[in-house]
Amino acid sequence: MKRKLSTLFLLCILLTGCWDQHLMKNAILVQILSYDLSEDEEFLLGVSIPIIEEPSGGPQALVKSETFSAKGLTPRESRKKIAREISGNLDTSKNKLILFGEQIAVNDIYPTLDVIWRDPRNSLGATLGIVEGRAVDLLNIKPKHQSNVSEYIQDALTSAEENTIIPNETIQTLASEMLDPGEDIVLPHLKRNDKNSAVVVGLALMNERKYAGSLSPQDSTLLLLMKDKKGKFARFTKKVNDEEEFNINNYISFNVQHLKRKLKIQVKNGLVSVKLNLDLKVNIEEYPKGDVPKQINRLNKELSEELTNDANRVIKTLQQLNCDPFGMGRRLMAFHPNTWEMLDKKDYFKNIEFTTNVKVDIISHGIVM
Amino acid sequence: MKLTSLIFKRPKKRDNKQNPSKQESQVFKEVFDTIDDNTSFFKQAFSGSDDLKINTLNVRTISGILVFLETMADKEKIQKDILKPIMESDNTQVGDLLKSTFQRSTNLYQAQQELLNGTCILILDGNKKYYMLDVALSKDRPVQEPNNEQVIQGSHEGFVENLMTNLHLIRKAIKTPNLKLEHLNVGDQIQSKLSLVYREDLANKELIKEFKQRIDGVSIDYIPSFGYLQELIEDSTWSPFPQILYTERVDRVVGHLNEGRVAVFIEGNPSCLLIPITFFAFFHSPDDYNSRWIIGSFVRSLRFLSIVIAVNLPAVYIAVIGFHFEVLPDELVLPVISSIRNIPFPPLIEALVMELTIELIREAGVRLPSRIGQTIGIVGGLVIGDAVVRAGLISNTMIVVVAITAVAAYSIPTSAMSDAVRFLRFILMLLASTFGFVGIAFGTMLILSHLCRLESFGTPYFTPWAPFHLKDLKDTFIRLPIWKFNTRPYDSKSTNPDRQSLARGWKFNGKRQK
Repeated sequence: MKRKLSTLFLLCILLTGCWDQHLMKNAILVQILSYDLSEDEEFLLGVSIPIIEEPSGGPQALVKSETFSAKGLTPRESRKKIAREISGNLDTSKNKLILFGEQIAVNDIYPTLDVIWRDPRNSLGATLGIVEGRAVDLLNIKPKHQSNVSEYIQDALTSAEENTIIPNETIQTLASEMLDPGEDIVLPHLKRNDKNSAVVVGLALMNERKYAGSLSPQDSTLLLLMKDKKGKFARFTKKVNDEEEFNINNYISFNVQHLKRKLKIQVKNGLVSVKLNLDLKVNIEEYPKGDVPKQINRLNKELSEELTNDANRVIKTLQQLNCDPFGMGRRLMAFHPNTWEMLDKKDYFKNIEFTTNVKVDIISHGIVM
Repeated sequence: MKLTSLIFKRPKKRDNKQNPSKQESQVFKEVFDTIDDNTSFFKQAFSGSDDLKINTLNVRTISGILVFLETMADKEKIQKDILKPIMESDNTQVGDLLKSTFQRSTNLYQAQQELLNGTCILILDGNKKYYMLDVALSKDRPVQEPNNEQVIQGSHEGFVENLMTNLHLIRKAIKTPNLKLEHLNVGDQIQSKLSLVYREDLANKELIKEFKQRIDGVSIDYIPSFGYLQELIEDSTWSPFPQILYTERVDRVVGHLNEGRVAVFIEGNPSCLLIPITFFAFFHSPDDYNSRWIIGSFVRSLRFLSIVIAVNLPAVYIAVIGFHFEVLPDELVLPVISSIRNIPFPPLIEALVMELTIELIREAGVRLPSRIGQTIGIVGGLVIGDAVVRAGLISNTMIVVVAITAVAAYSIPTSAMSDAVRFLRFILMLLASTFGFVGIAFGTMLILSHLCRLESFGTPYFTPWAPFHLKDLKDTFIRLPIWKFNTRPYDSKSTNPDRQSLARGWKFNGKRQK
C-alpha cells in the first residue's frame, strides 16, 4: 500500500507537467499568415513555413520557404485543412506577419483577427499589412537575394519603419486603436512587383475596420510626422528651383532631425477646429546647386510652404476617407465629452476644421556649402 | 520515514557506549618494579607485534630497557640523541642528562600512546618514572603548492600531511602571541589528533565552545580524514552545500584567521577546515586580493555569473525547447529548430546523456594518471562530442549548452561548491522537463530558501545577503580596495570588528599639511 502511494505521489509530481509539453522539434513554425477572399467569396488562408535545408559544408543552414493555402469558412477551419497537409503541428507562436488581401480588407479585418487574440499561443508581436491584390500571391514570390519570403518582407518593413514610411506597430499595440471608435489605424501597404519582389507602397488608411484608401510613401512620412511618430530617418525631396536647365539641380533632399508637434483642439459652438503646428529642424542631404547658407531664408520659406500644402492635402485625403489616425475622437471624448455626445460618431472627422502649419528650419547642410 | 528515524536514533544508542570506552583509555597504570614485568606489559599491549623493539641497556651503573616501535622511530636519532650521550657521560651526569633532555612520566598507558607517535621510552631498573624522547621517523612531503587550488600570483605554500609542519606554517605567517593552538583528540578506538587554531583576541568564544561541544559529542571508532569529521560536526548533512570550507592553502587560512574564524587541522591531512563560513567564501580565491581590485571584482562577479549558468542553463534550455520556444528571439528560432529537428530523444534525455557523459569523462580523468587522463579528455570531449552530433543523436545546440555549463561549473574555485552546483543542475533539469519555466522558478526558489535557512556553526550561511549587511558586500560579489576593509565581516562574529582605521593615512596627512 505504502509503495503504491509513494509511486502515485512521484507520478503526480513528475508527470503532471507533461500535459503542457510543447516540443519545439515537432512544431512547424508559421512565419506569415495571409487572409484573402477567393473569387467565390470563400475565405482563403495562406501560410508560409520555413524549409530548412541541411547545411552542406557551410556552418549555416539555408532557409527557404514554402506556401500552403486552403479555402474554408473561417481562419481556424482553413488552418485545420492545411494542418492535414503538413507533417507536424502548425505553430503560430513565432508568426511575424499577417497580411490581408484588398478584397477581405475592404469588408472588415477584425473577424479574422479574433482567433489571434483569443488563442494565447499566438504571437502578439506580428505586424499587420495590407496587400494590393491577393495577399497569398505575395507569399509566392521568389526574391533572389533572400530565399525566405518571411524574412524578406520583414526586412522590407523594418527598413520602411526606419525611414518613417510605416508606423512601428504590432498586433498587440493595434488592438486598442482598432476597437476605439475615436481612432483609426493606418497599416503598411504592400504590393507585389512584377520582378518577383515586394514593395512597400505607403500606408493603407483604414476607416474603422475597413480598408478605405492609401497614401504615397512621401505623404505617409508626412502623416507620421504629424502623428509625432518619427522613425530613424524622415527624408523628403522637394523642387525648390525652376530656372536650372539640368533637372537634378532643381531639387533638394533633406532629412528631418528634430520634430516638434503642437496639436491644439478647440470647440466653438459645437464646431471642432484643430491647430496642428509642425516645427521641423532639417538637415540638407542633397542640394547640387550648392550654397545653402546664402539661400537659407528662401529655402526655409519655400520648404515650409510646400510642406504645409502637402500636409493640407494629406489631411484632406484623410477626411475624404474618414480615417482618423490622430485619434481626434479620443481626444474629444476625453476633453470635450459634451461636444462628443452631440457629434456624429461615424463622420465626426470629416467635419473637423484643420489649420496646419509646417515650419521648416535648416540647421545643417552637411560638410559642404 | 523509517529511514530518517533510523538515522536519528543512532546517536542516542552511541551515547551509552561512549563513556566506558573513553574511561578505559584514561586508566592509570604505574610502572612495574621489575624490568621483566615492564617488558611483558609492552609485549602484551602491542600483542607481540614484530616491530616492537625492547632493547636492554647496560651502561656502567645504568641498567634498563629501551622501548620503541621500529616502524615509527628513527634509529639514527636513537643512536645520536639517546645512546651516544648516555655512553659518553659520567655516572653523575647521567641523571642530569636524563632530566634535561627527556620527558618524564609514570603512566604506562601514556607510554603506550607515545610509542605510537614514534617516541622512544627508557625505563630504568627500579625506577618509578620512565623517560621518553620524541625520535619520530618523518617521511614528509615537501611543502608545495596544492594542485587543486592553484593561483597565478601570491604564495605557493600548501599544507602537508604532517600536523606540526602545518601548524608551523601558520605560526610563521601570523607572528602574534594571540594565536592560540588547542589540541583535541577524537576517536574511540584509534585517536586522531585535532588542532584548533584561532586568534584569541578575535575569535568568538561561543563558537569555540560550540565546536568543542560538538567534538565532545562525537563518538566514532576513528577519523581517517577531514570528510568524516566534517559530516560529524556540520549543521545540516542533508544539504548539498558544504558548510565548512576546507583548503590546502596557507594564505587562505591566514586570511580567514585574521577575520576571526577558526581553523581546524587533523593529523595526517593536508586540508584545513575553516568555520564558520558563508556561501560566498567558496567563490573567493587569493588571486582576487593579489590582482588589482577592479580586475579582482570583475573576475569574482564572473564566478557568480558562472554559478547561475552552471545551475540554470541546461534547465532553461530544456524548458525552452520543451515548453515555451516562443521566448527565443526571431533570429535564433530557425538555427535552433534546424539543429534539433531530427533528434530522436526528448530534451531531458538528450541533456542527461550529455551531462552524464561529461561527468563520466571528469571522473575517468581524475582517477587516471595524467597522461592517460589527457587522452581520455580528448577522446571524450572531442571525439564523442563530434561523433554524437554527426550521428544525429544529440543536437549541436545541446553540445554548446552542455559545454558552456561544464566550463562554468569548473570555474568555481572550490571543488566542494563546484560539486554541489553540478548536482543541483540535475534536479533543476528534471523540474524544467516536467514543468518548464514554472519548475525552474520553483526549484530556484527552494534552493534559495534552503540557502537562507542554512547555518554554519551559528552563522547564517547566506549572509551578507540574507540577513542583509550592506557593509559586508564589500568583499562578496565584488572586492573593493583593501583600504575599504575597515571592519571585519559580520559573519565571523569576531569579538573585535575593527580592523584598521586609516589604511591610507599618508593621503590625509598630506592634505592636512596643505
